[in-house]
Amino acid sequence: MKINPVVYVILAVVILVGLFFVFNQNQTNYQNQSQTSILSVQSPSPTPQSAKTFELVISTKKLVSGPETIKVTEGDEIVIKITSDEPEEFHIHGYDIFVDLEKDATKELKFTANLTGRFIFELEQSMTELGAIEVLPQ
Amino acid sequence: MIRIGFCLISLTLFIIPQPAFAHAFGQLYNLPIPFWFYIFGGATAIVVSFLIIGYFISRPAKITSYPTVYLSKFTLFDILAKPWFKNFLKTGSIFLFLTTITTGILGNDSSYSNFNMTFFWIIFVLGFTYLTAIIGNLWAIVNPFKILIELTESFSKEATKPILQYPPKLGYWPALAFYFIFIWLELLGKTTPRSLSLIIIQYTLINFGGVILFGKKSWFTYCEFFSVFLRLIAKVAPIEYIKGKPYIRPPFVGLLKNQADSLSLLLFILFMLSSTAFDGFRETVIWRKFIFGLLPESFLYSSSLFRLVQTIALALSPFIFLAIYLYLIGLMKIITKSKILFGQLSFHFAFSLVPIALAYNIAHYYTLLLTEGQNIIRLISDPLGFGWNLFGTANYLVNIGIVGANFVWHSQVAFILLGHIAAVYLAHLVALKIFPAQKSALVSQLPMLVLMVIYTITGLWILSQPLTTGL
Repeated sequence: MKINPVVYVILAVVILVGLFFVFNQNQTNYQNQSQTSILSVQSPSPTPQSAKTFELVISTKKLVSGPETIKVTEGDEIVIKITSDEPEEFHIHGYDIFVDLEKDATKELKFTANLTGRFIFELEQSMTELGAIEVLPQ
Repeated sequence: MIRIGFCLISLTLFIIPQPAFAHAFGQLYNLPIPFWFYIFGGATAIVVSFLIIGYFISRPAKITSYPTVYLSKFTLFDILAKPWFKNFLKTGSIFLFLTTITTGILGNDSSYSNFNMTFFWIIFVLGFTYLTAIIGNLWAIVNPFKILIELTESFSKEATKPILQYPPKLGYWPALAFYFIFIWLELLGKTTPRSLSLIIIQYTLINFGGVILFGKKSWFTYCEFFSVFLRLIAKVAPIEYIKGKPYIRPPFVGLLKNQADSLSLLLFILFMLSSTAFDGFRETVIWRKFIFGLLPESFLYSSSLFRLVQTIALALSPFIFLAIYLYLIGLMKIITKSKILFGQLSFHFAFSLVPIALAYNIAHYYTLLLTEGQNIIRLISDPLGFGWNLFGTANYLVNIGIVGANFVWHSQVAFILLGHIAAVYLAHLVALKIFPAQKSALVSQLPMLVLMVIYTITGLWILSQPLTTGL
């Protein structure tokens, strides 16, 4: 049976577009689900309603407490509290934020997650990667 | 001969393990693609592949050759063929080549403050490769190693006669060896501006030695890594050069003109795939769990031992892809009861993998070109990192928000699907050419389809995996 090749191209486009919408629906539902679970993890300290707080404890150049992957959504206000056992420089790639850490002192870092992507944070002087902040698009 | 020995020894002397920096040059800000994108990509790859088979079934049986190769023939900018333009390009190439080496030796040794790291790893390795995929084998003209050798030849006023005839059995193995070293340097070598310059100088000396040994033609055909790599990439370009004049052709058809003729070239192509896959895979949580499960922790916290483990994994990676490839080629031979020799059959389809390899590379790295590539704007004003401002752009701030995560996800999946579709289509055309009966040609494509779906889904899967910061 001879079928005009153009039919195949049209069929391909229809299927692709159709599949895309089907999966996009599922993705939106999935994202909505994961967002509500993130929002439920809140710090009790007096920070604004939309801010997300994370606490990192660094010891001997390793992350001993706190999430290795910090997951937030675009537009979130982020507060990161860092405690280190030695002086170092905390650096978030992409956002290019630097914070000087002192021995046994807690430093606080605040910024708005307006860039989407995966941004590694590290101890700048010893070039040790500790983890990453993942900012999901809305 | 003594020169070559010297070159090779000096190569090993300069690759000194650096302190453990966790990342190769250039920060990737890509998020893993969402699960649904991955599933969509995989499902689409399968569906579209079957549609392509259906298309071929419906074609009249007597058309057994691929479509006439050139869509339109019109000379594009005759200027490109003019000798003075070529000389202009060659001069530019040597200038950039010498700048790359000089800034590394004389300038600031900090990777982001020196022109050479960004220029070489981002602008050249990524940018020039993608440019080649669009405009064809420009490297044949601007290859600085070749230009320098030809310059020295013009001084001696006699052509260098090669010492040895190039042994055919050597094939592309030298190029493959250099490719491995190159990737190792890129992913595990922790190059700095200075070490990069020294490595380039050594490679230049190796090129001279190689040309003395085997002659220019053989060396640049079989042994010089960039020449082999970029010649393969240029085959996908929609522009080709006949007698120096540019002609437009459909993209990818360049891969049909001839075929691979050796195992070394097949492995070279598979390494194009596997090296990118390895780079993506080594950042995943799954890889870390696997490695920590396999080896004692003390072993892994030693950076040089961990680097050894990764080196072995990198070396094995093309063979994993080769095993899958050969298995499915074997199935193809059995299903079609073909009299074509197994080795020959594996060579026939090798080039149809190039679109997938290129798509992997683009999907994985193109954002680096867009984000880190912007650094070249400030680096041209301060190439040595001394605080200069030659063109007033030294304070340019990179905009890493140039592409958002959503756009990156869509484009990565799109590139991989495009590569897959091109590969499946090309493989069909090859099958129609080499199998006598149309029926066996179509039947032969089922294992090929499985192969390409495996490669494509692997690529998408790696992109979707949760990531971890490496050691």
